[in-house]
Amino acid sequence: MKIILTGGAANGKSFHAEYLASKYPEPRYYLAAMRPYDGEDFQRIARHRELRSGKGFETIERYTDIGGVRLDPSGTVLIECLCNLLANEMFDDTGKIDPNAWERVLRGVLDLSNRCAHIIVVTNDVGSDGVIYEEGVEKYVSLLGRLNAAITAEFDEAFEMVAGIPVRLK
Amino acid sequence: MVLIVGGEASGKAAYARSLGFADEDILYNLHEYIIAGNAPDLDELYKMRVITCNEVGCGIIPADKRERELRENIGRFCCKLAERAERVVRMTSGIPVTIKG
Repeated sequence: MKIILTGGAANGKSFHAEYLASKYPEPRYYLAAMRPYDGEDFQRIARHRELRSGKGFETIERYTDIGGVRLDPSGTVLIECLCNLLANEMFDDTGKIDPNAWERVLRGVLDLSNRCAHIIVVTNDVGSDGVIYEEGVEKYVSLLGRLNAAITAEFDEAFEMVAGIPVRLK
Repeated sequence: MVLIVGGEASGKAAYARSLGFADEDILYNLHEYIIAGNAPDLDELYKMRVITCNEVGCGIIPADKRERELRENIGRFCCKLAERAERVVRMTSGIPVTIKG
């Protein structure tokens, strides 16, 4: 099964993704894409680790080249999240932007989805706040939207999380 | 309790009023209380018949720490309330879509 969960911040995406993944067989891999920069990031990671504990996940920190991850083909993969993967591939430390990054993420995720038994991908809706950002961020918002649509098109099920409730999109 | 979520000006209040409860049983715009720092306790909120709250999480992570925290808080309040709510309604363009109950 290939499932994608989208939704705004703090809508219960992670919790539900872990619940879904825990219904599928082990080994269960948790691909953590957030590159931590400060205390708040570490706090967030700690919260997520706490949420996951006891659910049988092996955590793999993978910030880029998601398609290069080696895993047991009978396993279940949870990727958290596309927003981080895209940002990591798209922006470098010098502020340079790679507009082709989204295709790498797309290929990587689809490749991985064909090399495991079950995959659950978490992403985020970032395009609905009406704020005008600088050019790089605008590009990011647009490419994340495109990436979400492209992966959803290939996956079996898609849900938007709203107030902790999964609303089926596909 | 009926929880009504949705974007700004999506028709939440009008829908809340249409449900036939007394005005004192309806708490409008929970997000404003959270932003102002005077949100009632969850136990108080559970006593309301109807609660409306903006959805605020669908955007780029705010650069400002307080804005980030508020956004998270508003989302988590809604998750908690939705767990207890008999019905959760999401408003879009004045159209109520029941997503629970």
